[in-house]
Amino acid sequence: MAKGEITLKISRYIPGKHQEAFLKEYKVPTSEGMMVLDALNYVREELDPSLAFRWSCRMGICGSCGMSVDGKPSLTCQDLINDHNDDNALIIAPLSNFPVIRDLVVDLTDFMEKLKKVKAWIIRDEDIPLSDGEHVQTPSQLMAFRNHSGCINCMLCYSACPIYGLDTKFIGPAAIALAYRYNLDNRDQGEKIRQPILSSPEGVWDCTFVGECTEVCPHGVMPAEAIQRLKLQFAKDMAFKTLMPWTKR
Amino acid sequence: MSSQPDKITDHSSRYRVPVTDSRLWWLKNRRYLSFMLRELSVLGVAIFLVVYLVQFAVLTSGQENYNQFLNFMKNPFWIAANVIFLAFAVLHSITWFNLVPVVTPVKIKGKEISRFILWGMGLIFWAGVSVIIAGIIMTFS
Repeated sequence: MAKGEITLKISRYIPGKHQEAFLKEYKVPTSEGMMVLDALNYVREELDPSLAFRWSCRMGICGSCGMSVDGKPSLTCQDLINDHNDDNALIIAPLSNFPVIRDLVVDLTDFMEKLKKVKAWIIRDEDIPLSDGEHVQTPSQLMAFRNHSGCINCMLCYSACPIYGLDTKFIGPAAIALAYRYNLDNRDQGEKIRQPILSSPEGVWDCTFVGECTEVCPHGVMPAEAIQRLKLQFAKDMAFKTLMPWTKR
Repeated sequence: MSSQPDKITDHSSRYRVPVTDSRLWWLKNRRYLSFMLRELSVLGVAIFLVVYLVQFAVLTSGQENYNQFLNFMKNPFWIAANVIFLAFAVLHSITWFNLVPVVTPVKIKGKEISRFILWGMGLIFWAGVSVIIAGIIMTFS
């Protein structure tokens, strides 16, 4: 499909104006290399300025433009219209599992709170004075956590997670992957501080390893892997504590 | 001052569509389905184990009872059931070996072994142990 037209069926909902969400159709002219986000911008600029959606960088970096495209979580600035040309129509909805503020804009407060809970930042027992220079890190120390540091908080993983769909108390894939990223960072000393929340019932143990979080991640981050490795680590720690209570682990 | 609720902060006006919005959510894509089959396969393995334990119990109650049990198990229902149990056991084992390299990375001299090699080694180990057990059973039966 080089040039043509596509029908976007967009989920519309304006609180106070609409009783419930409904699909509204818009015809959008397409061109080679057009992304789903470009089509949405066409709708807002040319057809209906009341349409609300988030976007910023258009380069797959900021993680703002996550939406559900034909029922699949998608970073719309990286999603080619050409990849969806089965019936020349696309259904665009807000990300599943999140409360909808308006149209395609979802409320991410829950994730932000969880990110704070798992303390996804470098924790030090004692800060090294600036005069001592930078924290030295070898390439292999960097590679240990690099995959999980690629998270852009786009929330596609939460949207794809059936566990989070059933129980929003679950800490969830991105927050756990980011906490694990800092656990693996040689500059960090906060592993023991993060453990109580990560090993709680709402932490890693809620996950049943569906694996869809890893599949939908636009940056190839592997939250499912991080969660299973943490489970193994916590199980080993518990076994050692039970069998050899005199050892310090 | 207006007493109208602020639509931006009025959470009661928000709706949420969970990905698990229907009982058939696991048919939404291939990976959800594969997850459900993996979890369901435990049931097949568990029922097979129960039947196997019953077989052991019957074995201790004499040759005649055991022969009756074997004849009973030859009916088409139980043969079909055993084929399903076997399919579940194979599915469960393969998906388990698929998960092993993800959960337990193995490092040699600081370098992580490729997941594909780990996965292959797991399957070869599984096939090897199965052949040894089958050999022992066939030798002594």
